[in-house]
This record gives sequence, structure tokens and C-alpha cells, in this order.
Amino acid sequence: MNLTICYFGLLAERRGLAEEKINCSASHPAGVYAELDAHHRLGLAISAIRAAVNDEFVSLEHPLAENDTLAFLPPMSGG
Amino acid sequence: MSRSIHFSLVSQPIDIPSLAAGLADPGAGAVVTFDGRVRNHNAGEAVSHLEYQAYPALAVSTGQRILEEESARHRLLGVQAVHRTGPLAIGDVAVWVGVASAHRGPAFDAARAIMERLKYELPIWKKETYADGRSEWVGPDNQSPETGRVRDVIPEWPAELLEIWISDGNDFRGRHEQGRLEHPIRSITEIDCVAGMGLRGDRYFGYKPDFKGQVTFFDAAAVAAVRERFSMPELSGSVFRRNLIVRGIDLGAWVGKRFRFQGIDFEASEECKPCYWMDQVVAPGAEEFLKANFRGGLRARILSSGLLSTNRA
Repeated sequence: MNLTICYFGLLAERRGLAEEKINCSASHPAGVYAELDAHHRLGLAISAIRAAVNDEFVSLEHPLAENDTLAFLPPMSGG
Repeated sequence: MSRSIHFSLVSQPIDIPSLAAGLADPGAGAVVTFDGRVRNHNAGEAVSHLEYQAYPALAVSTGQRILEEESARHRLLGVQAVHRTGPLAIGDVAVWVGVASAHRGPAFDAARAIMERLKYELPIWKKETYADGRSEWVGPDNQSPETGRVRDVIPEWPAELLEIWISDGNDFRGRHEQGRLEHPIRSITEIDCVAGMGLRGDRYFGYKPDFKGQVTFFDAAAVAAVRERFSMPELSGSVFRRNLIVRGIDLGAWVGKRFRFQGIDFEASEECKPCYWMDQVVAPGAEEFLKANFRGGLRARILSSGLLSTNRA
């Protein structure tokens, strides 16, 4: 499935970019993260991450659709 | 009700006077404003400056929703909040919250609640640069002892989530001798848990501050036991009006303890004691049966926000 992946904060720094288009076999955010972590050594545990699809929070098991924009969010630290 | 509810992100200095002017209301006996500023030290390190990165679309929709929820909960007359993005210097205002209310109690409470939620729900990240030139993405300080959220010592529940039930009305509570209201209860596969508030869409969402029953857990084994005891094999898990039906955890062992379930932190408060309505919706004797062996379920507060799903592997 073709996806646009967005990274923020620490994850963007570790990946070395903020956005990329990928093709992957996983069908939910947890699976996609596992693939990306294996390739790029992102290094954060999946339990520390939240996911958003098309600008809305989703669970890590949310079923993805072709051309979704999937964002991985490290622990937030605003304020 | 609220006339003015507005959250924004800005990359320039926050225009505090014009925001404060937007809170003017003849019915407002109290206006509380807060500015969060960049401090010159953090965790023993000398900070020289910092930078905020946001996920703009999601930060704005999340911030707006927080303000709307807290405005309704505290019956505010107006509320405005702004978060900065980009580079900031020591002393700059990074976040500003202002609320207007008829009385000071709700105004202080709402300003505090909004600040806490903005800190751990907004998709915004802070990168600090230190006096020695190093820089680092900061972990959320809502995990500090001040807010009681120390994530790393909380044990994970080895449990499975089988069913999620929510209802937008309250059927039983406070309805003694008034009969049952028929608020529909519905089954969903995913639910948004909001720290300190409850399950988004549920009858107890934002019910009252520090509410002990923001969420209720019910053991699938208790559903099975009731079905067997009362010879009702088809009895739905919905009749108990508990939110989350789980398998694989001894609920009675968790009263007063914190736990993590699907990455979300909870604090168990007490047994969810069954009431006599159970005799009416299940069968006579159901209330007594549920009183034994902690079958009534577990009430809990939500300490961190996130989504629970029944599809979790």
C-alpha cells in the first residue's frame, strides 16, 4: 500500500526528514512503524508513540487505506 | 454558554492585550489568564533558547476541542488559548490561556485544567538548546511528580479488550423509583480516552472534576458467569452498562493502583458496585450474584490520553 509518512520532533530528527512516500505491506500504523523502525532505527518503543491518519488521531491498529497520510507522534512536550 | 472559544498557533509573539480584550463580558465576574514562559533552566541544565515544532492541523483541532470541552464543563463565558511555534528566547511567552466566568472558582479550575491538557494532548514538541551548545528534544513534563504522571513505574495489564460500550445518557444513576430511561448503549471498536475526562462520547465524559468512574472495566468471566447462573446464554454484555469488557486480568487486585492498558495510563479507584437495577435488567438475584467475587467491575480514572481498540493484537 502507498502511504505518505510524516515524522515530528525526535522521530523526524532520527529519520533525517519530515515526510516521505513509502510502499509497505503493513495494514495498520503499528505494523508500518515496526517496518520503519527496522529500516531506520527510529528507536522509540511503539508504546510511546501515537498515530494520526489524515490529521486525526487513530489507534495503532487503525486499518489504513491506499494513499493515507500517516503521522507518527513522539511523546508530546508543549507548554 | 460560551460566546467565544478560540485556539490558535502563532509563530510571532503572542498579542496578549488583544486576546485579553476578547474575554470582556458583562456577565464575567472573573477572568483568569496564564502565561507559560520559557525558563532559563530545566532538569538542572542551563537553557539558552528553545524551539517548538507543531503538527499544525492536528494541534489546532485538538486545542479547539480541549477549549470546547473545558468551556462546557466549567460553563465559561469565553476562553482563548494560543501556543507559539518556532524559536523562542528566555522569557518569551510560549503558551497563553485566558478564561472568563461568572465566578472565580470555575475560572481558576478551567485555566488550570486547560493548561494541563494542552501540555500533554497537543501535538507540539519542544527542543531545548543548552548553554554548552547541545540540544535535545524534551520529554513531556506532564510526567513530572507535580502532575502525578510518572509513566515508567506503571505496570502493563496483560489483558485483552473484547468489547467497548458507551452510552450518551445515564439510565440508572440517581433514578431511584423514577423508572429507567432508555438511553441507547452502543458497541464500538475504538474509543478515545481523555485524561481526567473520560471516554469521549460516553455519559460520564467530563461528569465532574477528578471523577472516580471516568471509565468502568468489567471481566468477561463475570459476563460468562451471569449467563450460566441465570441460564441466559444470549445475554448481551451491554446490560451491565460497564464500558470495557476485558479478559485476562483479576480486576479486584487493582483497586487503588495505577496500570497501563494499550499504552494508556489509568488509576483504579474502587469496585463498581452493582445496584438493584441488575435484578430488573438481568433477573432477580443478579445484584447479589454480582456483589460476590468483585464481579461488579472496576472503576478508574484516566491519567493519559489515547485510543483503546478491540482489534489490538
